[in-house]
Amino acid sequence: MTQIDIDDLHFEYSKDALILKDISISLKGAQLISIIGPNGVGKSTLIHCIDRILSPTKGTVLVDDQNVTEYRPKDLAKKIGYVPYTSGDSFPMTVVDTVLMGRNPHHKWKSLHEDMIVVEEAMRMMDVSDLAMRQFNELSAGQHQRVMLARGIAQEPEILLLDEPTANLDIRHQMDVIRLLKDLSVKKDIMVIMISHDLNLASKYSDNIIMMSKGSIYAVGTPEEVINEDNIRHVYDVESEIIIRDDRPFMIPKDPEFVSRGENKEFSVSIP
Amino acid sequence: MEEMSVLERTYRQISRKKTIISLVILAVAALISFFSIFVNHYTGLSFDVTWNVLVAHLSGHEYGVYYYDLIVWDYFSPRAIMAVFVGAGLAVGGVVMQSMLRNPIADPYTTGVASGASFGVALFFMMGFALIPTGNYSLDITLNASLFALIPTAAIVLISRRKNMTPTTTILAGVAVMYVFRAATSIMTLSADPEAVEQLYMWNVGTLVDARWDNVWIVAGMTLGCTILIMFLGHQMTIMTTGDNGAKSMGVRTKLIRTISLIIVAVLTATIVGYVGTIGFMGLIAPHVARILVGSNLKYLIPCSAATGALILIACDCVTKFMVSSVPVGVITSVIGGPMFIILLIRGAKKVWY
Repeated sequence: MTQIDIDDLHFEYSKDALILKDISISLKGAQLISIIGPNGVGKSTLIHCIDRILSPTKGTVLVDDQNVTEYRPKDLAKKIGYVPYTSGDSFPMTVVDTVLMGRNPHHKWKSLHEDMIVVEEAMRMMDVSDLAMRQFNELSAGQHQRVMLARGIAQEPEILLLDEPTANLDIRHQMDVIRLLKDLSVKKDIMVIMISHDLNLASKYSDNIIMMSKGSIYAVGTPEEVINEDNIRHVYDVESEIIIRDDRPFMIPKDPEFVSRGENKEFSVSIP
Repeated sequence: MEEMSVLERTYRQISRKKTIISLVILAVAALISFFSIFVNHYTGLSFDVTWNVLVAHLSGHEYGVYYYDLIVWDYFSPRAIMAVFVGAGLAVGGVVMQSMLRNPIADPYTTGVASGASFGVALFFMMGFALIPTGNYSLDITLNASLFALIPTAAIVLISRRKNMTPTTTILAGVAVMYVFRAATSIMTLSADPEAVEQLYMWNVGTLVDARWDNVWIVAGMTLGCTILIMFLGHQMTIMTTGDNGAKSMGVRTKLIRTISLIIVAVLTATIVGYVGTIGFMGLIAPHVARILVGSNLKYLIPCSAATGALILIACDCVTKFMVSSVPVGVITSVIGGPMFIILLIRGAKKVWY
C-alpha cells in the first residue's frame, strides 16, 4: 500500500521568506486527497517537496519508507507523477509527443508500441484523442490541462500530484476530470493528491482534505471534519454557511461587503 | 507484426516522413557541396578541368598544373567539406542552446559563447598569448577559443541552476557576458598593431577560405562526434523543453543533462569558431527552418537542423564564390539569412515558439 510520511518539513527560499513550516503528516493508501487553502500558503511548494522538485530546508519526505532523496530519478518517477498547473511557453510539440513524454520512466529501447497503447488509453480517458496530431501550443488552456493530465496518467505512477487540475476547465470537463481522478484512486489503486480552490468539488469527491494556512497544515480529515464555518472563517477570512448535500458539506459563502455593511445602509466611498 | 492502432500507424508514418526530410536536405547539401568545388571565377578553370583535377587526386595522382591543383584540391575541396560541417555544427549548437535554455533566440552568439571564443582568439592575435602553447598556429587559436568559450558557458550553466531563473534572464545574462568580452576585446584592439586588427576583423566576420585538408578533419570529427553525443541526450532534452519541473517529475536529471549538453556544444562551437571565425546567424536560422519542417522533437530536430545548417552555409558559400571580390561568408549568411528569417517567422511563427 502506497504511503507518504512527511516529517517536520520546512521550506524557505531565503532566510526571511519561510514558505512551509512544521509540516508533519502521513498519507496512506489509494484515495483522493485535496489540498485547499488561500493563495500563497505553500500548497504548490508542498507538492514540489513531495516530488523532489524542491528540496526541503529541513525535514524529510518518505515514500514507501524510503526518503525521496534516495530514489533514482526514474524510480521516483515511477512512484510519483506530477501534473503542473501550466506548462508555460514551450516549443511546439504534438499532443501525442507530449503525452508520450510521460512514458519516460518506463522508456526502453524500441518500446514505442507498448508505450503507445498506454498513451492512447490516457488520451481517451482525458478526451483528447482527436487532438493527437495537433500542436500542443495551438490548443486552448482547458485542452492543455487535459493533455497534461493525460501525460500524468500515461506515467502510471502510484501517487499522482496535481496542481489545480480543474482550473481552466468548463463545468462539464471539471466534473469529468474529478470523477476520473476518483476512479483512478479506486480502480487503479493510485493515491491522488490535488490542489483545489473549489471547496465544494473537493468536498464532494475527496476522501480526505488537507487545509493549509500560512505555510502549515491547519486541519486534516474527512470533508465533514474540515469544511466548517469556523475553519473557513479562520483560513479564508470568509463568512459562510455550510449545508449538507449528498452527505457532504456544501459551502455557501456570504458576501463580505453585505455582512460588514449591514442592511439598508447608504452606499458610500471613503477617500483617504 | 503486432496489431497497430490508427494513431500509432500515423505516428510512425509521420516519423518516417521527418527522417526522409532530413535525409533529403542532407543529400541536397552534399550535392551542392560537391558542385561548389566547380564554382569559381578563375579563367581557365572550367568545369572539365576541375573535374579532371578531382578525378586525378581521388585516384591518387596530381593533375600537374600547380595552380589548378592548389585551387581545386587544396583550397576548394576542403572548403566545400568545411562549409557542410561548420553549418551543421553551428546549427546543432543553436538547437541545443534553444532547447536547454528554453529560449528561441538562444544561439552560440546570443549566449556569449562565441564572444568568449572571440576574446580568446583576440588574445592570440594581439598579444600572442596562447593558454596552452602547442606551437601549431591554428591549434593554438582553437584551444584559446575553446577554453575561453567555456567561461560564458559556465556562467550560463551556473545562472540557469539558480532558482527562479527564467529563460529570459538567462539570455540577458548571456548578452551581458557578451558585452564584457566585447569590451575587453576592444580595449586590446586600441593598442594593437593594425595588421593584427585586420586579422581579427576577418576572423570576426567569419570566412571559410582558410579551410585546408589538415584542419577540415578536426572540424568534421568534432561536429560528427558532438552531434552523435547530443543525439543520445535528445530524448531527455526534448522533455526538458517543456519545463524543468515537469521534466524532473518524469525522471529526467535536468541539471546534469543541461550541464553536459551545454559543455558539449560550447566545445563544438568553439572549435568551429576557432577555425572559421564567427559566422553569424547559423545557430538561429537553421534550427528554426528545421522546426517548421519537422517540429520540435529533438529526435528529428537535431539531425534536420544539422542538415539544414549544412545546406544554408554551403549555399551561402557558393554565393560568395560567384562574387569577384572576396566577401566573407559570414556577411552573406547575415545578409541573406536576416530577411529570410523574418519572412519565415511571419509565416510560421506558431511553429517556432508558443
